[in-house]
Parts: sequence; structure tokens; C-alpha cells
Amino acid sequence: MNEHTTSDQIVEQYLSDLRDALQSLSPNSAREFVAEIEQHIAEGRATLEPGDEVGLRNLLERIGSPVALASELQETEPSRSISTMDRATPWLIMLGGFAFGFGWLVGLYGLWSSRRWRIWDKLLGTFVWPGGLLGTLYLFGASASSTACSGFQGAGQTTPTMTCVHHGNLLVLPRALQFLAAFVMVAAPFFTSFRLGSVLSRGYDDASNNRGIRLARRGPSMSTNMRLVWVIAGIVVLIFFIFVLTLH
Amino acid sequence: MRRGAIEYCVLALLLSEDRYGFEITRELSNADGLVTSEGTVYPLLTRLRNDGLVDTYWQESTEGPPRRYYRITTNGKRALSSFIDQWGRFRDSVDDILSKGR
Repeated sequence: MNEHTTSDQIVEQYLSDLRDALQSLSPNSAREFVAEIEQHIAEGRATLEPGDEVGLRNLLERIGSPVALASELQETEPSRSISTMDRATPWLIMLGGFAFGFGWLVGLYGLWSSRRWRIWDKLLGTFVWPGGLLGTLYLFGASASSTACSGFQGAGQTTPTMTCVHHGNLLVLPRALQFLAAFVMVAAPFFTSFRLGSVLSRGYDDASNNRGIRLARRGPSMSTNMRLVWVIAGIVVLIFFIFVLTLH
Repeated sequence: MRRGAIEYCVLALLLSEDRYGFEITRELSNADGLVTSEGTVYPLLTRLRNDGLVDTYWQESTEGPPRRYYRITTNGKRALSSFIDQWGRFRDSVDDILSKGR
């Protein structure tokens, strides 16, 4: 029994050394790798006599020392260093609109030209909201007339919402939904940038996501031509939005 | 080069039957001079899966925890057969040059 505990301790020690050695890898691939090694050890131990400490040490030796494994993995893993542009992009997407809109354009370029994000996140960054927090202000501005209308409604006590229908589309909603809509308008850009930033630092969790794998495969092998098409598509979308904004 | 070749050795191992990780690493480490440590095979399996050359599924085992089995895909078979082709020519060329040096 005592010997068995020692074996467990050896394995625990090995796994914790491994986790420490893998710290420079992305958390997802490190976690997956440790889980696989854990599995491997469990399989190996099933073939050993309980308390066979020599056999266990032999098993771990065959797997490799944590330091050696970590350096081997670093060679095969794509670099985790994140460029300054990628780092700045989530901020530019959120706040860049306030720099006369120009900052947001730069952020948009960074978003679409980077390989760090997949298509759905690129679309998220582009459309929620165009202009980032400035987009939120614009959305509020669009319902400004309904805000004035709402004051009027308060004075009249029971004035129906009918008078406001022409002014603001938000006011046809019940008050609770108005607050919800306002909250979503403000929170959405924060969520978007948080999401982009989290993808940047953590990568995509391919282990649990089959769709992700297929999209990820496309990412690194995507030709320069293809990426140029995406950048151009992004710019076209942008021009469309500027056009729509100037109509108001 | 060796690492590249090992990936195809894995694919070749999977050609006859689906195998789980422990089995694959054991086979490879039993072959002389192919892998230095068994643990390094796992990142390679992950890469093969990400490249769509193998896929995986879980299966209960009678002794111990459930096992993740690896299965070669159509793309994997295609990649393997083109590697076998290249490898044959490569080996012949090297043999040729080496024998001239004697």
C-alpha cells in the first residue's frame, strides 16, 4: 500500500514538472499534451505490477524528461510571440473610432490581415459594432429623437407610444427591453474586443471543436492571394458602412 | 527529416488497423533509432489530426481508462502513398551515391 502511494507520488511529481516545463506553450495545447501523457502513463502502469517502482521509472524515462519534451514541442509548435499589430488590434477595434474613425480602420486592417483570428471572429470584429464604441454612440444617436420623445411621454403620463413610432424604433419596445437594448449596445464592443484579445492570448481550442480544426487548417495554409481577397472584402464592407452612415 | 518520416510511419501503422496512442508510441520506440522519447510522438499525432490525415474516437477498454483511437483518413492514405513513392526514389538515390563513395 505504501509502495503504491510512492508510485502515485512519482507520477504526480512527473506531471507537475511537465506542466511547469510547458508554460511557454499555449494553455490549450499544453493541457491537451499533459492529458495525453497522463493517459499514456495510465496505460503503461496497467502492464506493471503494483508497486513496481523500477518499472514505473523506466516507463517515465521512455516517455522522456519534461524538459526534453518541452523543448521538442517548442520546435514543432508555431511561435507564440504575438506581433504589436495583433496586440493593438482589439484596442483599435474598440476605441480606434474616436481617432476620427481612422484608428478603427487601422484596427480593421489588422484584424483581416492577421492569421490569429478566424473568419467568424473577423466578422464579429467588423460588425459589432462598425466603429467600435463610436458605433455605440451612433446607435444611441439614432435613437436620440426617441429619447426626447420619451420625456414627452413621461409628462403625459399615459401617452401611448404611437407618437414616437416615427421618431425612434427603440421606443416601441417596453421600457425593460429599452434598457436591455442600451446595455447590449454598450456591452457588445467590449465583448468583441475581449473575445478578440482572448483568442489572441489563448488560441483556439481545437481539441474540443471539430469545426475549428478544419478552419484552423485553412488558416496557416491560406495563400497570400486569398488573404488579399479577405482584406479587400473587408475594405469593401467598410466603404459600404461609411456610405450607409453618410446617408443619415 | 527524421521527424517528417515518423509521421508517415504512424500513417503506415494505422493502415492495417486503428490504434491508440500508447500502442503507436510503443511500436515506434521499439523500432531502432526512430524516436528518442515516446512523449514526442503525441504532438505529432496532434499535428496529423489537425492536418486531417487521421481522425480520432474514444473507446472503452477492458483494462484501464478509455482510449483515444487514431484512424487514418482518405487524405492520410493519399499522403502516405505519395510519401512511399518519394521515399523509394530518395532511398535509391542515397544508396547509389553512398555506394559510389566506397
